[in-house]
Amino acid sequence: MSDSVIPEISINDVANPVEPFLRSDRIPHIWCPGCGIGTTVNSFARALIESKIDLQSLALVSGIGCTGRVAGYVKLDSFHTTHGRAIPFATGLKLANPKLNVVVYSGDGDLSAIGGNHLIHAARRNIDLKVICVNNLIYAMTGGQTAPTTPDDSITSTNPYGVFEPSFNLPHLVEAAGAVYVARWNTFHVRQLARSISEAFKKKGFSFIEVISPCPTLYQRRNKLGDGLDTMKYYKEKSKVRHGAPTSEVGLTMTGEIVVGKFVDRDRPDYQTLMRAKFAQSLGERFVEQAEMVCS
Amino acid sequence: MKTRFPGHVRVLTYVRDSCHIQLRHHKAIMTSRFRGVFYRPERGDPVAKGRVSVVVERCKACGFCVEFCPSHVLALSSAFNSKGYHPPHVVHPEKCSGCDLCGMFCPDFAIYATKVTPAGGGNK
Amino acid sequence: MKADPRGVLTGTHFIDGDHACCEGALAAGARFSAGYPITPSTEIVERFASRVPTVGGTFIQMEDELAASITLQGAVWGGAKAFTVTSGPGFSLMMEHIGYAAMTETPCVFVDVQRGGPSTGLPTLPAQADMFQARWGSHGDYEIIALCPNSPQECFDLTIKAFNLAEEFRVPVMFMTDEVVGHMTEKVVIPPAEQIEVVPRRHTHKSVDDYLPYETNGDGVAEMAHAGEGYKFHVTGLTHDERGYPNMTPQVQDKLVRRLQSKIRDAADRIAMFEEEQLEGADVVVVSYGITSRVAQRAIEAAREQGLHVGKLRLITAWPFPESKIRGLAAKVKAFVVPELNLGQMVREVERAAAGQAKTFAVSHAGGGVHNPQDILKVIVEASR
Repeated sequence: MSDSVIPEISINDVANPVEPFLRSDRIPHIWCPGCGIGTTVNSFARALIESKIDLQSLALVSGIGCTGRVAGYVKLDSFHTTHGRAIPFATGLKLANPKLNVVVYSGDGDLSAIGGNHLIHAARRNIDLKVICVNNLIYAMTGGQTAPTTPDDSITSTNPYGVFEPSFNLPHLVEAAGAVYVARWNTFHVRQLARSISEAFKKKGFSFIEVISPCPTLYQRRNKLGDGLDTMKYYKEKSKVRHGAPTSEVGLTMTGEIVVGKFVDRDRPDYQTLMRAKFAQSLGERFVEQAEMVCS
Repeated sequence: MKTRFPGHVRVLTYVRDSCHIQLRHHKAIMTSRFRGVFYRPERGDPVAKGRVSVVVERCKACGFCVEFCPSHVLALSSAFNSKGYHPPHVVHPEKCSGCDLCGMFCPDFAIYATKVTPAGGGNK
Repeated sequence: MKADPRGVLTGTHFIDGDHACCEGALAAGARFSAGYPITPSTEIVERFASRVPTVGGTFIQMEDELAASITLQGAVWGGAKAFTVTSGPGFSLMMEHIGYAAMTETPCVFVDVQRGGPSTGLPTLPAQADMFQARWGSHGDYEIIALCPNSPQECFDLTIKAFNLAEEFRVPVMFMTDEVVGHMTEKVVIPPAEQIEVVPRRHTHKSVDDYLPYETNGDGVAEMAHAGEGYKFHVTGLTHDERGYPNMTPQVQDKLVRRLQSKIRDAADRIAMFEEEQLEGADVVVVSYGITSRVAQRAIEAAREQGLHVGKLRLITAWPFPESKIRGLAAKVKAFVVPELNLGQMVREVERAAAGQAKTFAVSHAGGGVHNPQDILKVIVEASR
């Protein structure tokens, strides 16, 4: 049946732009309906396309948790490491092969609780890593326990009467520790997130992008905040874009305003630059640059 | 492989076959329950700038694409995929601009839109 | 493959075990270390920190042992030969990542310069009480290789061996020295680079389309690729299949974990290294390792002067435990005497392998010093009756 107005299009022409970045043999993935992690992966894939990053030299490292599963779904050299230790693993990768573009893709609990120490030291050292922290305000994979980012009064499985601990303001934390690029978006801001990730790829040094995401099964459900779609509508309604806002003022509450935007974009020499400079200065001729570590 | 049904929605099921993706029509869904699939433009009708493709088996009916499509092209259908979710379908194909916001929002990589070039051209 | 001469400090040196270990690592081709200071191991990485920028490599002092033990593994997947050093408390912290290295089959070396424990214990004094921890410290079923030097010269030679075994079997290797061997200064001869055999990374030659990260041939060891080469492989600590993808079923678990075990156990006889002396016709065999083997030597000689037939078996490979050697000996000797700087660890393995065919006598020591040779002699005499 032909139709002169609508051209017949071969199915093979019409490709999902994200598909080349996915391990399609493992999709559908395990994330819940309405979970935002997959949405962040779309933004990540778009950023890779836009910034024309050489995929061969890109490595992705994640920790444990729902966001940690990203490593298993992207078609890149990907490492699913131990809980909290994606950043030191990524540090080792980057130092052994400085040509790699190393992305750490992990969750709020993994990066700021058990991994907190490594987060602040990598930021302090300004290791050239791009950290995408999907913050769903909870420990999702293990069933909804309190995370350092869970806002006051939230109900979780380990705070069944409501969280009373103050929670982390992650942009503030990493800025204080020394990160050169700090941004926050949520899963509603798909294009802005992609743009931030592209910008981070252009930066040399420790870049941190926080993405607030729904966890409809645990965080939203336990706190009667609706489902994933309700949360996305809340993000749309209550987000305020304030580029350059002081990070001390961007703390989160359960239902309040969410300040998003690019908060920090500064320049500091990264770890490897400092290291080489120091050795060149102290050792002069005796300094031997690290050769390509190909030990085969 | 060409579709037997002209129209602006390609309803696809991805069947896993080792590393290759094979595309097959999912006959159970291609029935008249699916409103809007078989739109055939008449002379003088506006021609859509974009085309939506839905990967039915991946959809978890979160509703993001329906809600955030700026042109309100989509709605959740009454059909089911094998997991029991209602995938979206196109109700206003002529309004699709091919912006692919649906694709960017979809957490399940289950939908995407591509820009369409007019008669005679292929598109990516 | 011959050693890279840039890392080989050829010559005759008067250095301690820790320093010799560092030179061994450099000679083996290690160009990356991530460490954390802990007595009595710190000197190894201090020397590495000062040597490696003149050889072409990187040292980073991480914020804790948890980080150090995984940073080195990132470096391995980035293409380097890498190691870390520690002692008891740090060794305990590294256990999760030793398990990760075993599960992901990351070739690397962990040096444990043992000191008195448990807990903070005796930071500056020797013990040999981490031997079972080296084998069983992490959770789950896995195998490692452990080597025990007894001199600074062996600290040099066996560190190279440790790296070679790590690469051959794609396994983390535990280098179990102790505070005395680490801090004793002796002559160490470092030969020219062309006399040092080094095992290269078992890098795949398959094309990107054919390569499966955990597909093995005959010997149960898969070929490796590094990040940045286009293979786009996935590595996970979850139970995984040949593709490296998580596949969490009992069938895949069985296949994977048994292979991790058998790749070492099936090669146990090949991996085993020991020093033996006068085992023929011996009534008693003294089984020892590390610094205790040098103290035991004095006791053995004293016993022989008394007319006793005492053989010596010094374990250089502690794990996999040389069961078949012990079993073979047990049929011929009256007893084993096992002096150790602990309250009985490797002696349990000797007893198990002997399976009642010979008696087993422990000469335990809570740590903090070395045995008095008289104490070992006393037990040898008793065992000979």
